[in-house]
Amino acid sequence: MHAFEQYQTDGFFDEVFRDGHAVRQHYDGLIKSVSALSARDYALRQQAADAAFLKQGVTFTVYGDDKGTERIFPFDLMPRIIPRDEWEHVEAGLIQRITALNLFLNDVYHGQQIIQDGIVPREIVESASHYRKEFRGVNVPHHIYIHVCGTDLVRDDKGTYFVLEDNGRCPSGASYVLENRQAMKRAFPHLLERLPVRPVDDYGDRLRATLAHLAPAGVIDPVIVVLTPGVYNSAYFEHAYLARQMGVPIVEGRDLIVRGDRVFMRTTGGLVQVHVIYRRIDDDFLDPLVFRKDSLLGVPGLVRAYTAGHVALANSIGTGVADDKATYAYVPAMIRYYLDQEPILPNVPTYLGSEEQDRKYIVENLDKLVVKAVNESGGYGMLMGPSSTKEQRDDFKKRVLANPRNYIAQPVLSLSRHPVFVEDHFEGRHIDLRPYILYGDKVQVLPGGLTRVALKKGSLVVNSSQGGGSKDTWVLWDDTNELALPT
Amino acid sequence: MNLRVYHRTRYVYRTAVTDSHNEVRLRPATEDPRRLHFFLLKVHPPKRLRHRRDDFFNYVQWFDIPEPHTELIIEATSHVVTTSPYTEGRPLGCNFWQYKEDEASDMLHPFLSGSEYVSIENDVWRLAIDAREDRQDVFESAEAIMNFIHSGWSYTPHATHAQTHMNEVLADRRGVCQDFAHVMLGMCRTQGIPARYVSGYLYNGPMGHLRGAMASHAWCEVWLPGRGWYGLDPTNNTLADERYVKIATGRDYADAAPIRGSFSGPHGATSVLEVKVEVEEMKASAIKRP
Repeated sequence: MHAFEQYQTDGFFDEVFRDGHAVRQHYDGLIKSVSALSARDYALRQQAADAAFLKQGVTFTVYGDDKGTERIFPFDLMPRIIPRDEWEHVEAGLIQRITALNLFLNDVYHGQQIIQDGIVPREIVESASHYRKEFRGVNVPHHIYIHVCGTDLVRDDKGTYFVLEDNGRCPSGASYVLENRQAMKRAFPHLLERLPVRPVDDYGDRLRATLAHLAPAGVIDPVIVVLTPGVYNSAYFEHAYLARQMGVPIVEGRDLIVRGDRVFMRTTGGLVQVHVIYRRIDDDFLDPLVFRKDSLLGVPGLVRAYTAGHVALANSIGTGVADDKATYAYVPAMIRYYLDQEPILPNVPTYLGSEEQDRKYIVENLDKLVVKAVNESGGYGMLMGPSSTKEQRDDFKKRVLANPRNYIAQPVLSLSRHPVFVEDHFEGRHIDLRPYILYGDKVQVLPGGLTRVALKKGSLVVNSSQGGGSKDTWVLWDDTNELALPT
Repeated sequence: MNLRVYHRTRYVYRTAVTDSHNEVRLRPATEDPRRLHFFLLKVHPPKRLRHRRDDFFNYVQWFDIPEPHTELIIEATSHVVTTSPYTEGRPLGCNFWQYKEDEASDMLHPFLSGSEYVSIENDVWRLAIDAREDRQDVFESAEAIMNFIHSGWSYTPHATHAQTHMNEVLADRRGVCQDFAHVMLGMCRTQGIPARYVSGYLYNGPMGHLRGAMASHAWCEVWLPGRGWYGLDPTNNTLADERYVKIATGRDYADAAPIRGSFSGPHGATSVLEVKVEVEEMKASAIKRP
């Protein structure tokens, strides 16, 4: 297959090719082997993988789309490879960051030293829509707020890793990491066992251990459950999948009941006390007594049981104040403040709508910036300046001026690209990376994470809800170039 | 060697204590900062961390816990690439008279005198003379002292405690790494060999038999004129090579203790002290390929 003959890096940082056409060392063997396959053979393996995803129901839901509820998450067979040194740097930066974010949450829900010392403005914290004022003074198990974090990273035109955002509420996508690896193993049997690729399939065990760590003191064999909003949620596949991986029940709000500040699960054998809830429901819907009264998804009394310490929640309540896009701008300052260290992974420069000068710059430069609503995720409520129409820009200008605290803007990064198989050849597409961090007894990072691809040519938006796909991500044990696909 | 060190210390108090002030020296000291790939300190209850350098240029982190608490956990994780100063063999060829011409001599004074846990009395001098026999080479003399201690003292955990003075160790001829390091410091100093105390960790390997790898370790470094500091471990009778991770140095334990703290609370309030140290090699490849 002469799959790479026409390949153009177009001046972007390409994960595989350096200076136009030279293959980076860690991809050397892989590229040779892929080139040795016929285009037809490669395409057949790709099709087999796609069919498997659909058959197994590895799907997600797009809201506001009438073409059917569920879609498969497109998968590109060519893996992304991260060499060991690069990964160690990323891992160190992520551990540092989640540690600082947890210290920040503990602080803003207790003494608020960081506000008193003038590092983070009070307005930023207290106006964040996910800040839960009523949780000040509540002690959470082991002082950990974010147990599972998905942090989005991108690389710029020089290959430097930047943190784009932290997802400290209910980050999703870990199931795709595991499924993508399975798909690779099916498409290329015997391949991974011969390669120095770090495994990811122990994620379920690690997640379970992280959750078990939270159990109330004295509980030796805690009952853990996954709490899902139900089958119509966009990530239902993942909820069920992770429950199966951990070997724990999956429940909906109506399966749980609170008696005497303790949470019980209805089972055919009677009520069983639950100690840890991996909840995949937003704060707002968790408990109709405290948050949204119209919520049918939650469990009345759950928050009281949580504050009484009889049940643990992962993630904790109110973590959204840490992954708010305006708070994001202050994370480097938090790292310096709490840990007395320099940040290992830099932030993308960010302009805050709430700061007068920044706001002025944003409205005058809408065509050059990415503007994001601070509390939205999944690529909703976003303006991509360079590719926007004048109407869209005028609309955003009005929105920003009407509610400045609600918007931030960042320069458009020229994201790194990776070859993606298109019909019978490879083309470069922009990618990002979402590693998953678990904060239990120790902090651990799942090697690699989810590499998301903007499948539309030229697009910079990788979110699954906006037409993104994904790739298997390989972290190497050592910096070898002996990677080779069987031909 | 590419090593990962995990060191966790947990104190549990019988009753709530307050006003805890703590200073820790847990960050690996590397001559080249790029060799320290990662370091993070975590404390519970969670507190803001600050740092400073002490008189011996150790990296000291400090934090306070004013409010009542019944538990304190201090957890440090590091990834460090260690090297050995002995790759080109033992540094022989230094004579005692060379110290007179050594440019560093002003800086070395603290490492030639007695200090809080180290004495340089006559009996120590006598022992050191016996140990050295007639050796004129500085490094060989230090090695002979190390050897002398290793064969003459018995490794006995719990016979001594953190504040045991060297004189007691001389009398009882038993102790742990910290005690042997103090004895070696005293003996070297009486001979005019500048010697300092080192706190750190020891990589033992999966099949290793070295002592002191289950907790933080201590050994000595001697100054060789015109060359620098070289580590020797009297507990294991070993040169401190790439298996040793240094975190702090000083005149003795008092300067280089990994954790120092005080709190206000009833006498004997500490009921549990748990220490866990793991030193693992981060292997280049953990998977065997066919």
